[in-house]
Amino acid sequence: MEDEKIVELFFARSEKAISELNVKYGKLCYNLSRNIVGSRMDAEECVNDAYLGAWNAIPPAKPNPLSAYICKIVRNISLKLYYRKKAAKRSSTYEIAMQELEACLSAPNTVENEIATRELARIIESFLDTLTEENRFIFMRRYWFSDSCREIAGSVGLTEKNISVRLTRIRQKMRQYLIEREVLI
Amino acid sequence: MNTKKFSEALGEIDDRYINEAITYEPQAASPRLKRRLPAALVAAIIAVFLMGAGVVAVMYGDLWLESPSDDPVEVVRSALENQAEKEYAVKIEIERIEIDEEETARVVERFITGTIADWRGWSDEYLAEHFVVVKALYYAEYDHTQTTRSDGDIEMYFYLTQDVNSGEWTIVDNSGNVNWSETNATEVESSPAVGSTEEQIFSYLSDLCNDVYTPYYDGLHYKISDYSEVLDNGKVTATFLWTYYFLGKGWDVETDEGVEQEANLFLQATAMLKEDGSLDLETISILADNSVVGPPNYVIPIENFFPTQLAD
Repeated sequence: MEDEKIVELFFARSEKAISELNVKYGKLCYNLSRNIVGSRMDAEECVNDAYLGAWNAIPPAKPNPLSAYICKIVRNISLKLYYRKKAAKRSSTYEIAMQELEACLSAPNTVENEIATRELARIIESFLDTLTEENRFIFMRRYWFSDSCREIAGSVGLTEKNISVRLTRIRQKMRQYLIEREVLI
Repeated sequence: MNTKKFSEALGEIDDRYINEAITYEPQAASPRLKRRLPAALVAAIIAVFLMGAGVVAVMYGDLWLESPSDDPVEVVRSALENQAEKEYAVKIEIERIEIDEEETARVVERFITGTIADWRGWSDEYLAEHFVVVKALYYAEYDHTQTTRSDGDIEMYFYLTQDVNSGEWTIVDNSGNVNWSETNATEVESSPAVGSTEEQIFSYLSDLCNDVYTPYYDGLHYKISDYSEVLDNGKVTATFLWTYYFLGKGWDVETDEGVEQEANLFLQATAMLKEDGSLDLETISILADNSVVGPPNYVIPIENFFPTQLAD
C-alpha cells in the first residue's frame, strides 16, 4: 500500500493503518530495533510502542516519508530501552557500532558541551553530503540502523571485509571533518 | 565527544538521509562484473603486490626515484621531477597531483582485499591507513629514440604504502600511461551511429578492456579476426578471435618489460538486435571456448575466468 494511503487510514482512525504499516515496514522496524536492543522480545515491544506512538501522533502529524518517520520513532524508543539496560547488556549490534565510533570521536579536548545536538546533526548532514551515495548508504545502515557489516555487504554486493575497510575510511574522513569544524579539537 | 551525544545527533538528521538508506538500490551486479580483469592480467597485478612493499616500482625498466616523505603527494611529485631529469625526458610539466580516494577504495576492494591482504598480512586497518592511490596529471614529451612512452597529457596512478614506523610513503607500483585525449577519442568512437555488428562488438569489448586495463597497462589495442556471425530471429551470434596487446611489465620475464605482449581468446558473443540494427547491450553475453581439440565449445561465461578475489 502507498504511504499516503496508510497515512489516510491513520487520519480515518482505522486500525488497519497499524496492520498496513506493519506489513510494509514491520521487518525494517523490527530489525532496526533488534540491532539496538539485542533481543527479539524487547525489539517486538519497542516496535509495538512505536506503532502506538505513531497512532497517537498521526494526526495531526502527516509524515512524509512515512518510512523515515516510523524508523525514527522505533530508534528513539529502542535507544531509550538500550540505555536503561546498558549496564546489564553490552552485546548488541548498536553497541558494537558505537564502539567503532568511539576512537573516531575521542579527542583530548572537546567542545561537546558547547555544541547543541541539533547543530551537530546539521554538521553530520553536511558530512553525509560529501559522501558518495553508496558510502552514505553504508554509513547510515551501520550507524543509524546498526546493521551488521555482513548485512550491509549483502545489500551492496561487496564483501564483509570491503565494508569494514570502507567504514574505517569513512570514520577517518568524518573525524577529519569534525576536527576542521572544531567539533573535535 | 561521547557516542551517546553523537547518536542523539544522528537521530536528528533529516529524514531524507534515512529514507535514502531505506530505499537505496545498489548498483546492479552485472556492470561490476564487466570491470573484471582477465586472469592473466590479474595475476600480473597481484604479482606486483606480492613482491613486497620494499620493491621499487619500475616503468619500462626504469626506476621511480622518489624522495622519502610522509606526504604521498610529495613522494609522487619527487618521482616525476626526477623523471624529468632523465635523458629520455624532453619535457615533464606537472599539472596536478592528488590522492584519489575513490580509486584507492576501488583498488583495495577489487584487487587487494582477500588473497593479497591475507598473504601480506595487511589488516583492514593497515589498508585503510597505509595504502593510497595518488593520481598525477602531467604533460610529457619524450625522446622516442630512447623510450616507448606516450607523449601528451598523461594520467598516471601511483600505488603507495606507508612504513608504519617511519611514516614514510613508498611507491610500490604505477599504472600505465593513459593519454586522455586518446581515451576520449575512443569513447567517441565507441558510440558509432549504427555500424556493423562486428564493429559494435569490437567497440563494446574495447571499451570493456580499456575500462579495466588502462589504469595498469600501456599500449593497449585490440583486434578481431576470424569473424563470422549468424542472425536468427533478431538474435545475433558472432564468433571470433579476440586479440589484445599490451606492453609487458617484466614481472614474470624481465626482458618483456616495455615489449608488446599478445593474448588471444576465442569468443562467442550473442545479443539481441534492436529495431535500428544496433546491438542491445543489455542482452549481450560473451562466452569463451574451452575446447582443447576438435570443434569449439563456447560454454564458459567470460566472467568465470576471473579470480574470485575480484568478485564484488
